[in-house]
Amino acid sequence: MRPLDVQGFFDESPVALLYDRYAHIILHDVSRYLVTHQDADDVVLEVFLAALENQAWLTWGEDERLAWLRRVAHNKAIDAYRRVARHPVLPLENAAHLLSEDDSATPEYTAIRNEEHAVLRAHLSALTEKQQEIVRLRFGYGLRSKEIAQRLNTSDNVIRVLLSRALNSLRRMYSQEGGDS
Amino acid sequence: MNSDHDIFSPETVDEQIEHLARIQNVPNSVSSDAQLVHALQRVTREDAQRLARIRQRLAARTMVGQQETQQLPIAGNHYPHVTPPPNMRQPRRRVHRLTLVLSGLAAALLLVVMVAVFLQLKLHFNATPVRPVPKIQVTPTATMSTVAAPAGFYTSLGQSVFRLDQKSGHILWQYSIANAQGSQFPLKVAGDAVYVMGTTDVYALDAAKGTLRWSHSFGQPQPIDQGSRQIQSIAFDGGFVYVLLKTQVVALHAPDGKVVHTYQARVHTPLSEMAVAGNVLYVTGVFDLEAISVVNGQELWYKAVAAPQNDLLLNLQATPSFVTLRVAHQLRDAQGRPTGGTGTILAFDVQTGTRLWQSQTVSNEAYYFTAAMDAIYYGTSKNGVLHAYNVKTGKELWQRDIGALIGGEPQVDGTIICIRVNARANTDYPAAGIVALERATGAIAWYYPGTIQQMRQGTQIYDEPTIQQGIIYVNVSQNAFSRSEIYAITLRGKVLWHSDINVNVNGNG
Repeated sequence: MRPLDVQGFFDESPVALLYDRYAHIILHDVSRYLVTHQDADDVVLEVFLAALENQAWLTWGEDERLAWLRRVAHNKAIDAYRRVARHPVLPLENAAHLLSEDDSATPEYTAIRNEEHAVLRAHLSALTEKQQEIVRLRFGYGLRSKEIAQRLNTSDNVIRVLLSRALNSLRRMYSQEGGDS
Repeated sequence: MNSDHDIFSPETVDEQIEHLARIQNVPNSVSSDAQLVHALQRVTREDAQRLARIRQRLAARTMVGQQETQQLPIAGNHYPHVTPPPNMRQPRRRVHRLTLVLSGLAAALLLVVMVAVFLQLKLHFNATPVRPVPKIQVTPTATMSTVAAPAGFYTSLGQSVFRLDQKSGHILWQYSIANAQGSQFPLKVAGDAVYVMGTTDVYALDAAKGTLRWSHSFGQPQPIDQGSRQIQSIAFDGGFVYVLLKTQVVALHAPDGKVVHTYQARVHTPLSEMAVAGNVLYVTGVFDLEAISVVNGQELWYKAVAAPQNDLLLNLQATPSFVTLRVAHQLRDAQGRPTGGTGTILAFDVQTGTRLWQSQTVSNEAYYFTAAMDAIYYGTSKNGVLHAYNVKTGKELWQRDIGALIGGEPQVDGTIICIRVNARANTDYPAAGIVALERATGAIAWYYPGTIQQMRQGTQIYDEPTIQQGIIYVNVSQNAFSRSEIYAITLRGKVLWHSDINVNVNGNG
């Protein structure tokens, strides 16, 4: 029997396109409910496995697809939340200090960094979805505005405007926090 | 709109980002903008890596499904596909068409019969005066088990259940649940049995010998719920084991595991929590709470207590005096995006469902609470004050600053309350010790380890302490999956013994 080209097979599947389009939104959603990365990642996987098994979404529009994914994610996150509440486990990120003597991996540093990240994620969720996607592509994948524009089928100028607005919004949120505290 | 805060301009935003990203070691005084850029890089790259890993896992799961499909005979991998000769194709098509026609006729006939039966039944019921119909035929007889469980500590680790000697901590028996899904099974010790909640099955073990008495399977979850529990929780009351499923509660006869009754709740499914006290079964749905008599299956009362979209009902607890739960409310901005959450504890009268008490609403912190007798003991995750409040009289009994942040639900036994605490300032950091208080006055009875300072320097504690038969058991293991390091402590704070349990990756010792 000829071996399957797994990655090729998967990359061309509708569920892969669905994943590439919406996974970051679902990850962001479930991260609001679940503290540890492992739990959130598991829930994202479960959501797209559900999509794999029930492909009714193939005929739906973009909004309907996202709404359905969010509904499934919401239910699965609640399940996971309850599992975690019953059986709290050590998040791997909190165990990082066991692996290194480096100061940046001490429990205190990790805890502070996790809190910073949680704050930043909360601020990011206040941006529009388009801005979030541009920030993700700019900082997560290191793409410049021109490359992002090509990917999103829009002009370089639009991306620059949206990106600069997003960053200025984030600055304002941080400075308001500083002023409040 | 530009302001003093707008330093990023569309013309130079790429260059500005790259400039700020080059600044290393960014203390507060150097550049908050550089910090922002570095934090954005860390968070988004972390997310990108996580998404890539999840994608690989998804691809691997897709491959498993594909290989399974390939192995099916219908895929033609095992049986060579034979094209029928042209003269054979026409008769087969005719037979196929004939089969379709006959199937259609049979289905239509069946439909006509069903409609006729339905109409006849409807006429019959319309002619009968309406009166309440008892929901159940089999009545669970509430019988209190008089047999006490043999002394010991009952716990689970991996896929095994253990009984440890109460005096020495030695393992008296171990029962491995073969082929069970999941691990770290919740269990209830009642009478002379240990009831273990698996993902899809309930097991009853002989508490003295550790042998299986019975098991009851509730089947596999639907594909859409893959990865979810089929069984949400179990409870024991009056000789019955109550099993909460997604749409109903099943009562099993404790001695033999036979189904005594199935309770269909009015609350909106999926059911989320269950509690049983004083022959009353309480269930929560998506946003509502219902009380059902376990004796006759009749609904006693029903309350819509939250909003369907943004609320979760959690930590349902019942005493013979009142029933209580926490409403976790998600806040959203104008665009509907989640921005945080609030929490409120509510308590209701068991007879009428009338609201007896409501706690203050807190934002972005967790409420921890436990109901016992007439009182509720509660505190929040960002506040080290534990409160005791008598719900029946409406009076606060006491409040106590315990010197550390509350990290878990209070555990109540007789005269003592013990609670897991976080001795460090950062609430994201796991809890680091146990504090015991006198139940009557709230006075601090003891700390484990001995002082708050020792807690700060010592081992974190990730599991809730468990109180069984007047002994507090604290698991200090850093590895929740394959190792338990248990300390047995008396209600007066004396450490009796320390015992390690290890299982391999499959959950067997």
